[in-house]
Amino acid sequence: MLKLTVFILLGLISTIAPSQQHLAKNSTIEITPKQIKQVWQGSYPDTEQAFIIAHNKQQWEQLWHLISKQRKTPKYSGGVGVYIFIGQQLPSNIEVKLLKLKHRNQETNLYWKKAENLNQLGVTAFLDSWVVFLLEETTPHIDRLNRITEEQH
Amino acid sequence: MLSNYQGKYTGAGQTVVVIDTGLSNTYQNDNVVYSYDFANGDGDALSPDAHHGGMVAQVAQQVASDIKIIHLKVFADNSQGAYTNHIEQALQWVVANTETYNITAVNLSLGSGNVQAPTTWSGSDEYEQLDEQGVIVTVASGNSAQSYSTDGVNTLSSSESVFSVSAVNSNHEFTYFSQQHKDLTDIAALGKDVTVTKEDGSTPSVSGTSFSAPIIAATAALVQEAAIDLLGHKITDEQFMDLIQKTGDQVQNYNINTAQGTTYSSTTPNGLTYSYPLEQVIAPENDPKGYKSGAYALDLTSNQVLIQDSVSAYDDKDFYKFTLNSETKVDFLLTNLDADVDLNLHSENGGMHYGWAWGNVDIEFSKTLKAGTYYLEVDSYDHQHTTYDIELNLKDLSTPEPDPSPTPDPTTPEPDPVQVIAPENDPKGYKSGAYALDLTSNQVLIQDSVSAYDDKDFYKFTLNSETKVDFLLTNLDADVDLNLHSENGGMHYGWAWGNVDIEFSKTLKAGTYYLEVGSYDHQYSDYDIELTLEDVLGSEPDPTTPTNPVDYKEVNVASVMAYFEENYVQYA
Repeated sequence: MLKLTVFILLGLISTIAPSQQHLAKNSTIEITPKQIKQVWQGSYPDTEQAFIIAHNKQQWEQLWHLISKQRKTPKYSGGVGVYIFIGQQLPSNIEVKLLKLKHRNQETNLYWKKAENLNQLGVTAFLDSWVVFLLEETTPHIDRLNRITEEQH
Repeated sequence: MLSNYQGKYTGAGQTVVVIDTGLSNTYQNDNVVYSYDFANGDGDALSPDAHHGGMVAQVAQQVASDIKIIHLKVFADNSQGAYTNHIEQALQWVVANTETYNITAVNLSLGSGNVQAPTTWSGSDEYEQLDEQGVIVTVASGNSAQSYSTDGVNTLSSSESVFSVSAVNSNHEFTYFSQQHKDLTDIAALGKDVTVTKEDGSTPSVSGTSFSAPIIAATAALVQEAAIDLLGHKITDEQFMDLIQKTGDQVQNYNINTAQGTTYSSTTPNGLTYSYPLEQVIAPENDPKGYKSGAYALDLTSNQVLIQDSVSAYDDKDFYKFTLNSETKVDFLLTNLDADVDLNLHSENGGMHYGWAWGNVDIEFSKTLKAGTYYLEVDSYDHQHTTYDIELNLKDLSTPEPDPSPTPDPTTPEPDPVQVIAPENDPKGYKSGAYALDLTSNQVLIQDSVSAYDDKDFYKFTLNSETKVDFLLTNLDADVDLNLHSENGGMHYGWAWGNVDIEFSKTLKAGTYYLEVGSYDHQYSDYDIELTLEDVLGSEPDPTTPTNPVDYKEVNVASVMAYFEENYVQYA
């Protein structure tokens, strides 16, 4: 029987308790599924940006306007929006896994990596692919997020 | 250019359904007559973020400019994945609306997995219904060739009711990404650097088997428009398959990958690379049962055996039965797993060897077994779906080791004398009147002629064991073709334009076969047919001569249409 599931991005288990997370000035937070409010995926964006970060409703609307001038902006329900251009000409079974937030010197860096999902039922073309995550505003140090880094294999 | 056809047919009146991501504002299509979103359950099939469906439909319309398009969207907005129940619903819609919209073809450029045998899924019933309704279903073979060590195709394209389409580049070679399988790939088409047009007029290039499949769907629309014009009715999907394969161009440079470590390549004088497996490959046609009395009987004819099948939640055990006639050392290797699967060996009296390990890992063990009957049990520990390969290596311990330094034989064996056959009675132009060849040599020469009033000769021959046969048709005065038929109707076409020699090789199982010599122009011609036979099981494979090159074909739209327009009466 086919595996028919559309896979949701899975993260790793947090290794730092919430109370410790708020106290640490320099710390690393593992991203868990609970910190991801919603995910959008698509192909062939209108923008050439590698990443875009939106901290409020106005930036959220600008983010979506840059990705696609024709689509309606999804409802903003608070939190931080992160657009990542995954790459050009990628198989449709390439996903993005969010790994961790590293907070140093009042700046926060989000690390992600590509992952192949051979079970995902997808299109059989190579696409210029993007993804948008809306992250929970309660995620520690998310208000300082200003950099995105792809972690290589 | 996607199509080399410049004729009068454009697919007018024919409808192609694209089951995909829906309409795109960026890659727009003409002649969209209907659309529906099965993922969201509404009539808005415009996808804000995905443009794949629009590009696929554009490719079809580059080949057949006047076709009508129906977009059935099965990907939810914001998602790169689709659910099979939405795809099945879309196929059901096509079953119900074939006549209403005069649907000629359905294209699915989506899927996952890599299978080596027809594999059912929830849409298989609808595939069969569409087949019965004469709708041609084209499915992309998949882009994950580099992720698998074994040849195979996307599960959704493995059905015998659909056309599995692989991708070639402009050099007529399989692309690095294209999945293909010798028994499941039906045809290939361009799938590398295909040009599409954005709404701003720019023309990016795209790649994938996604864009090969709609070329075949659109070719079907051209042919069916011509068929209605010339014959008054559409041709069947079997006839369409026959047509595109017989007029197709040979795909260049391919390898057959059966499993890691079992691919063998050789280079022919013309530089083409072929491969062939040395081992006996068994892909059970009936699913092995999960108990001994329903075990699949293995008829071992080689010392190297590869068994390929799958287990799943509802079929979590497969039993195989085999018999050894003498004491034999057997190496067992279970590989190519996607889940935790165990391999257990049972003797007939119940003794058992457990090939067992935690997790998705290969299982390997060796046993020296006495003569007798044994059972192999493949067991999915977690009841998860996975394909599997079992490799068996058998060494007969009753046979002495070969002398490592044999004395060279100074005498060269005499070649078999050529058996010359000049039929005393003219072979008829149909199977039941075929001239029976009594083959007494491995080298056979048949000499006869065809003419305007005797434009076909059939010959019948029987092989008692698996045999590699080289066929060569020469000494022609006109355009003559040589076709090989099996008794059940399977066919190999030895076909080329003009008065040229025809040459091909086939490894044939024991059975009865028919050779058909046909004068294409109904012109007089003498002919010679040379047959060279080699008993496959009784001889060592020659590493310089491929034993089983796969006859992959790439569609040639102009040849398809030229042949059909000249020979449409054959399809009446």
